[in-house]
Amino acid sequence: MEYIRFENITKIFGETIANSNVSFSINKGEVLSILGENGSGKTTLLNVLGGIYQQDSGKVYVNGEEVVIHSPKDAYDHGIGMVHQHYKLVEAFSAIENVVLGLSKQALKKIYERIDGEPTKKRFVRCSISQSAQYAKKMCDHYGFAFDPNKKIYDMSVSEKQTLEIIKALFRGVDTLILDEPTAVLTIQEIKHLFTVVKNMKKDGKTVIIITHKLNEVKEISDRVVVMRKGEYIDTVNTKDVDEETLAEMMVGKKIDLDIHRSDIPPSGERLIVEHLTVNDREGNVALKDINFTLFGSEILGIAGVSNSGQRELLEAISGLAKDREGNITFINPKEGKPVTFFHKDIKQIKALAEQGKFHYEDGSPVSLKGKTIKEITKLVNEGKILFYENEIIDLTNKEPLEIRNLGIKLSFVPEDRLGMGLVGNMNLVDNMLLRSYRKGKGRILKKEKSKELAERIVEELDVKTPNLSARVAELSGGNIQKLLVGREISSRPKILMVAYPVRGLDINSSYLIYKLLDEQKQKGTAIIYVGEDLDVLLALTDRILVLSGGEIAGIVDSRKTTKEKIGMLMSAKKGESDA
Amino acid sequence: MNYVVSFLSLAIKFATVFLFGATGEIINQKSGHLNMGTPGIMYLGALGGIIGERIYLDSIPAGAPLNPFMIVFLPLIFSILFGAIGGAVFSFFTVTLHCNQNVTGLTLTTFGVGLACFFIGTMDTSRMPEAGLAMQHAFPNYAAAGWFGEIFFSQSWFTYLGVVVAIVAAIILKYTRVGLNLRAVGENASAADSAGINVNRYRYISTIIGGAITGIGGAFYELDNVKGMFNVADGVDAFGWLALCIVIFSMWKPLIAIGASFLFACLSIAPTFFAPYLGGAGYVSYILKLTPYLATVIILIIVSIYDKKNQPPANLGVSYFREDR
Repeated sequence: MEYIRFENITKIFGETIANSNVSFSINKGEVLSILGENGSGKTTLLNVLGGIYQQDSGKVYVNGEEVVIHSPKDAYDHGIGMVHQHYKLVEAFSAIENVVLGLSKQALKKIYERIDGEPTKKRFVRCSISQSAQYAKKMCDHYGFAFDPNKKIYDMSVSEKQTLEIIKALFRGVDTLILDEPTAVLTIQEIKHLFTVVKNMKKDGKTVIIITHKLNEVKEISDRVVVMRKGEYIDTVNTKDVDEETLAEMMVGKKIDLDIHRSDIPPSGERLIVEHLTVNDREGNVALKDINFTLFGSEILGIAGVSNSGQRELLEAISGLAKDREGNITFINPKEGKPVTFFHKDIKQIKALAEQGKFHYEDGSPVSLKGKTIKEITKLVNEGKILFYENEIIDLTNKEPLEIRNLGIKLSFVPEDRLGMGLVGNMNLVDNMLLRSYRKGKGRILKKEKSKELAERIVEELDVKTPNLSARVAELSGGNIQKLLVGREISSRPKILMVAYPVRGLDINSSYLIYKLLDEQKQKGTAIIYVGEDLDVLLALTDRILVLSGGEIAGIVDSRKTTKEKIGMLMSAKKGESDA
Repeated sequence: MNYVVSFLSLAIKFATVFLFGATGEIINQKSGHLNMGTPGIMYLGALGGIIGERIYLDSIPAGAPLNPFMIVFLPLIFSILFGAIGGAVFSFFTVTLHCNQNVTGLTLTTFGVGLACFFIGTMDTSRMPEAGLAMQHAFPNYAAAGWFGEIFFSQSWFTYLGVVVAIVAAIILKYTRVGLNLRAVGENASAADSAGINVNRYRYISTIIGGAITGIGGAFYELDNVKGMFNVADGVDAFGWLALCIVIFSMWKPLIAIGASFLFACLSIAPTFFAPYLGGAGYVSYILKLTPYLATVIILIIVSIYDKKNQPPANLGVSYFREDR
């Protein structure tokens, strides 16, 4: 039975066409996936239904009647609720305050009657917060949600917030619930829980629309799939009739290889040695305890663990951002046989090192700079004639983050809020590239040519969808912003590259592109630390996996010889328990 | 003892100006509008108050006795009207025309100060001091209650109105559905919007109401505190800026603003009040004049370091347009 129908919806933002002539229909009581890559216009389209955007042309029908949805309130009036990717909750409020927000007395009365299942006999209905909390609890019991009405949003986990958003919509009595990328920030267990909720809602006769780019989830949960690409509607298929490969091909528009390539090259020498590292977090609690490991060149070391097991603190400690720490972190700069440069050392340091006999000429004879003028030395260094005998061993323990960065230890942390860390939304692509490199240029005037070249290269190589290079970054879709962020870090030719959740929220094509880029970096000799969530990817991409559990190392395993189950066990194992 | 009584009584009078300004601004800021036009709106309110009073004075025969109700009522209505217009202008620019809130607010201040000063300067001041005296005491028999009466019952209707407005504002913000919705708009406008709240309407109305309340403060200062002697009235805007400080000082709570206004008033009048007793040490009065500003800075530092709970509304100063990406 046709329930909602889009007819020739077109939505344009400035120069970007987000949706062009999209038409399809949604049946009552089904779970429908809207599948598409980032920037394919799926969120925009459903935002039209949710009342956030107004279409530029085209019509929306609900139950056969044309409707105009001006605001989220209009959407609710038509029984449509939306859970956005970035939750729309007031952080300073309690759960129940968020649930009843914006509801009038009359609306609450109707809701009470619906939950009671009978018209209220009372002439006056109390609409106090506590009364509403009782009704919300009653409804949650029906669906099997845990609900603490007085818990503040800022005390909630991501998953709790999402559940609250769903409760909020259900409390308002929606028939249709739109979930925008609901699994993007959830753990495996939380995703399982969410899917149970979705199934319960379906049993209850609700229509659920899931916006996603994850093929396995589409297969698992949905009845039908609408595929979108580049703002256009491609096709609708019954989930049981297609396999993941076909869906991926429809989504991307060409055949794509769903295998992750891992080049088998032997690791080169030691690159980073972490000994007895203990880190306290900002509240002074122990976040990491006695961490010991060695990272090699040409290696991808995966870090696995449930969220907040100390992944963030580990990366921050290495990059010099975590201040409250003990233990040694040693960086072995692969300098053997390489020329010394003025990039990290000034002439004084070079002279001192020469005194200690650290350098040799190309023919192997030792370097003595005694009696040479500064001009002569500068010339020799600039020509690359002075070479290191051995690797440089640098203690990172007390170095500033900027010094560590300059040594070639790059951290690309992709946070949930991509624009908050790393990129400036209101600046254009070129200027964002410049943010990392502006210190390098000479003189006070910024030189934009290099940044422009870099931006051009990243846009081309990573297939970033942008109208042009002078577009504001905030105008790009989330996935494209992320590609820029990762691309910029990789482009700086790091010696150690640390990436955290680099594919979070990215579509298949971009994810595989990122995996490929990381593997290429590994081939070039870079040591890579990859903090990831998806165990399948960790197993396929990395060489070794370090499993963190409660801030301690639960084990370091060889990715080629282990299984998902074993890592899962290590992740949940408490150090004390496994010893016992 | 007498000094203390008259000092406190005067402080309460000055606190009234602060309280209107602070309560108005709190209502503004709770909706997410960082209205830096408060000093200008105060001046506009002052202009309105004087126009109201002039209209009344011109409508009665020369030498006729002043009606104690009308002498308060007309200026009040006009100051509310002028203040509300100030708030409406601010909302029009920030909500409808999507202008930057800081720029709009500062412009409004410059505009309000200039406009009001220009017109106030051309005003006919005859009988104004008399009118100022007539509205000075809400309860003419205050002296019957001794020193307590001197301090608390000697005030004008404006003062009692100010306290009532602050208490009502506190109750509405904290305990009502409208208050919850308003706070949501200031905390997270997009969340409020998706919950079905009309963000623009809430911002418009709250800013207009806040402007109206702020305007009363300006009128009261002009009409009562300086008793219509406008040539010495420069400095209404100083009250406006300090009102902005009080908003932060009181951590966006109108009830605390009552006490904070009183404290700021004490600090403001202390230099002038104690000058005669300080003798030759004139510099002390300059130091005293500095204290309210210094106190604000210190409180700001303390609050931002140690008080993580009483933070400003999260979306303060952030304009909201639904289709923004």
